[in-house]
Amino acid sequence: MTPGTIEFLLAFADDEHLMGQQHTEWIGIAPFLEEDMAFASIAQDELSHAALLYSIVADSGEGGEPDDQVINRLAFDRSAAEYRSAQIVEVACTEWAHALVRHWLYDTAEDLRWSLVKQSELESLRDAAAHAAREERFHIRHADGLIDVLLRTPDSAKRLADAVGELLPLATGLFDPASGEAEAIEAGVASAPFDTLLPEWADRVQTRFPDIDIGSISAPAFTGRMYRHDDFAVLITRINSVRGIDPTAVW
Amino acid sequence: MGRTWSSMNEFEAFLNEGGMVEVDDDMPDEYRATVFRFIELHANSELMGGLTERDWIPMTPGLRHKMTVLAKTQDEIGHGHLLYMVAADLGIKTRREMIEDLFAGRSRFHNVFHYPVRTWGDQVAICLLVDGAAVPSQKAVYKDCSYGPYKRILKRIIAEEGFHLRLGEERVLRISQGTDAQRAMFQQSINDWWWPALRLFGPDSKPDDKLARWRLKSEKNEVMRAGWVQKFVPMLHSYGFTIPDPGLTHDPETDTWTCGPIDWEPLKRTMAMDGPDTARRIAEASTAWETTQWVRNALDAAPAGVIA
Amino acid sequence: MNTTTVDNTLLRRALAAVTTVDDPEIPGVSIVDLGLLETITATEDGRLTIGLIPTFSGCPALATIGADVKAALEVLPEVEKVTVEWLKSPIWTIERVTAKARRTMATDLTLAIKVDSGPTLCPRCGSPTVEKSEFGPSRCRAIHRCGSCFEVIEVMRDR
Repeated sequence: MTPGTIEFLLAFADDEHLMGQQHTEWIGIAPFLEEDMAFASIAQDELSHAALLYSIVADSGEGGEPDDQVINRLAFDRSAAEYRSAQIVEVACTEWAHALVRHWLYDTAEDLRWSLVKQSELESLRDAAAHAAREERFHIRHADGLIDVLLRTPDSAKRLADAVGELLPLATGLFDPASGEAEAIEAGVASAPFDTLLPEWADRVQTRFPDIDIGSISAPAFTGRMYRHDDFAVLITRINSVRGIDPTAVW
Repeated sequence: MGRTWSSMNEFEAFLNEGGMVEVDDDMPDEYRATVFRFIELHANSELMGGLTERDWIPMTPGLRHKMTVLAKTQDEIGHGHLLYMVAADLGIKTRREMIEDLFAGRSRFHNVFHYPVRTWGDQVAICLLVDGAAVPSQKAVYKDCSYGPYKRILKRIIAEEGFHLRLGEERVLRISQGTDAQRAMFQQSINDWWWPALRLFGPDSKPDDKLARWRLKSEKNEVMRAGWVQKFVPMLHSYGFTIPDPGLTHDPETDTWTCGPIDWEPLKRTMAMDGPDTARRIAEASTAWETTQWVRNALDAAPAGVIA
Repeated sequence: MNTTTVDNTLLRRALAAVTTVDDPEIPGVSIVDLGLLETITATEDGRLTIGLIPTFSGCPALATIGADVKAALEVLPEVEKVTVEWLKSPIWTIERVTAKARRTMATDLTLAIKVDSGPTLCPRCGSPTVEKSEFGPSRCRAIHRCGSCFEVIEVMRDR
């Protein structure tokens, strides 16, 4: 596996990992029990996708199923500068409207993203895409069901609109390609650049929120996903707070 | 409408013969209220247990490990959801009323969830000592339970709690083989959680226990408590941990461990909603509930059946 | 690895042993009847490889099931080594759950199965159910209520 392909896979894995992590924050404090269970299930799916993707990266050298410690080192032990996540999964959403809107924006983009690797030359990635595809539809359907209802009442519709306004620029950053994307496409790992699907995502966003003037969604400036959101430091400290007690410990 | 009974005597005779009560039966009001309170307490405790654990999910030390930890919390909240449905069917309070009573500090939940979870070791100690107390307690309710809808749900809950307990035991085993820092952390957690978990069984059962007569409980508290002590003392000793009970005794002939005198004051305080972490826990849950009120308002305004 | 050359009594005994392993959250229901077993291969010197598929990739019971399968097989005298692999394909579907497992789940655990054709039926009375929460206590379960006998039930599903 080339360094570019690794970079490409890490960006995907980091997004899934941190999205799942953010969803876990809502388990138990969502508006009602059904949503607690929904955020738990969706977090579980996203974290499992992350584990699949990290394990593909970890597998690139020796072969064989990587153990938890190898996956954990990739997931937790890199420096901030080494992460390749998009800022939408790094930002803290302390309002439930924001958490729900992010869930929808992210899963809608993720659904498209998996479609680019469903015929990957990498068999393990192809298999992961098949698992993810069935789960993503379900996630989006869940978010859609709630958003349908919340858009009908002025107060809740306003909260969603505010959340869309704040989060959309960050969510567009999902389409900011990892620096290895071209190499990954060259190697047949992915079929096309992610940002070729940006117009379709923008269409879905506009259809989902017809009364919100989202303006024109244009491709994000290329950063190679090198810059972390201000909230990242707190996020990663929280993630590693128990691991940090004793780096040699196995829990 | 299901069956009716002309008197409490007749109803108790029905229970004595092993009869099962179903939701549409015209059960005596006192039985209905007792079953309701019992299931409500169980549901509240599942939910508060989930809220106790939830704080630590984002900090779980391991990616796949996090999936198992969050799945456990999802189980607890799911059990709460199922139990609230069964309780609400008894027609005394709706699910929302029960949750609002809970978050307003007007209704009870088990003593163990009135304590602060300070470290990851505490989180693991709950999986071992609290779940290890919950499983036999629930089995004792299930075994001869007279209320059908509750009994059937308990069977699934027990299966899942048994799985949690096994995961808890595996975690404790790993920690026991771990570093000094891990072992020291867990020893402190045993010190802090041993007595609250032991008191979960409650004081010795009274001979005229209504719950036993109506088949909502088939084992005496003291018997379950003794079984718990007998299970966990040797296990923790074998891992090199100590038990914070200076009165603990061992009978070498029968190889039986017996705990020392039990101070019931802390249990009374938690029952009076005055445990070490009660106020903070309730306040936190209630704040979270209030900040999402707008979502429930919007759903309430929507035509029925739009969403589950 | 060529399984055809192996004495197939070993494969039969291995299958029987794997069948004794229950799902940790569904006691009485074998993982084989849940459709988790995909392949068993054996070498002549007694090395077994068991290929399982998860209901969902994030299922928290995978390590436990893997350990139970190993333990069930390692006691067989002719077995040298057991390897459990979680296969990424095929994807588990509800159709893989056998009729036997469905019966046990319905009668012992009031646990229903979500099928694509037609409504989910109450395990107690056979009437159609109504979904109350599409996410239940586990990723693979929803919560329903029977429209006729009002039983609160869990429904196993594959999406």
